[in-house]
Amino acid sequence: MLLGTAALAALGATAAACGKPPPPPDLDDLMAQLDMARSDSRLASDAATTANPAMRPALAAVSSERSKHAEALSDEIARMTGEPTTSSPTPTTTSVQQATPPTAKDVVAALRTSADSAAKTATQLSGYRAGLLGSIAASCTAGYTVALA
Amino acid sequence: MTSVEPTGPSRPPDADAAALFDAVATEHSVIYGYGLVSAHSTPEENDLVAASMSEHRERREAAIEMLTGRGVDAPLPAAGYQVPTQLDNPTDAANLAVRMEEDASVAWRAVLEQATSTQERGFAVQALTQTAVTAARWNSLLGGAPITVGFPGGAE
Repeated sequence: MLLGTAALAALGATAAACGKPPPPPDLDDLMAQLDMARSDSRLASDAATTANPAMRPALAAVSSERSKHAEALSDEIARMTGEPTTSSPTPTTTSVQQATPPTAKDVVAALRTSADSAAKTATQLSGYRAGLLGSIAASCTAGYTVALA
Repeated sequence: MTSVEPTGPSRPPDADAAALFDAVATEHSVIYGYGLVSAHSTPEENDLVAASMSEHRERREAAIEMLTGRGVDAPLPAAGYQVPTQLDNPTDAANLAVRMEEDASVAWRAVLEQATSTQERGFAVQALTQTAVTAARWNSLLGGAPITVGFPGGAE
């Protein structure tokens, strides 16, 4: 027990000497998922404004679910780093998207990409993070195969 | 659904095998429950009942193989199960289907969180995704909105 404490103390000293500790290994994965969730949420809400009325509730639901995914991901990132998320919440809209409003079809394509990415990342992480990304992948897949189909 | 009299092999001590064991037990109960859903649903729902049932059967067989592959005896189906709600009509049947898919989502998310190999996680993600999609199909049939949830199998 005493030996363990001493070893930990020594480790702490080394980390302090090297300045900031290196970022946790899962951070990049979660940041990438966070950006996708935010971007899908915006895309779906933009699409809802011009979509035919029958599609609007489903697009709004997708937008809300992707925004909840972003929230859960940024909570997990904050837990991991000990500080609030610093990722730019500013929209990264491209000139193409500005020229023509997105359609439900664009949202389906985006969800498909996001579902694949979250599913792949879920297999590479473990514990709660794997579970969270699995649920996100499942939600995106149900969104594009059932809700927006 | 809860089994009436749990019998058979005991739950393994390792967290990952235990989660898989629980998921097989859940799949047993879901397959039993789809028999009831089938009895109470309309002819138009036959395709969805059949597709859901065969998906769960296939997944159960694969999961049993994964368990036995690691030297763990899979749980046996119970002689009977307590259904959480009374089933009188197609709406009750569809609601039970949604609830069973949600139970399966919870079981597979637990497998995903406890798994120690990429392969097992891949299987669990696929199972979690399929149960979420099937739940959405039943919800869509019920006509409520929204038909999807943000975190299938999760408490977020």
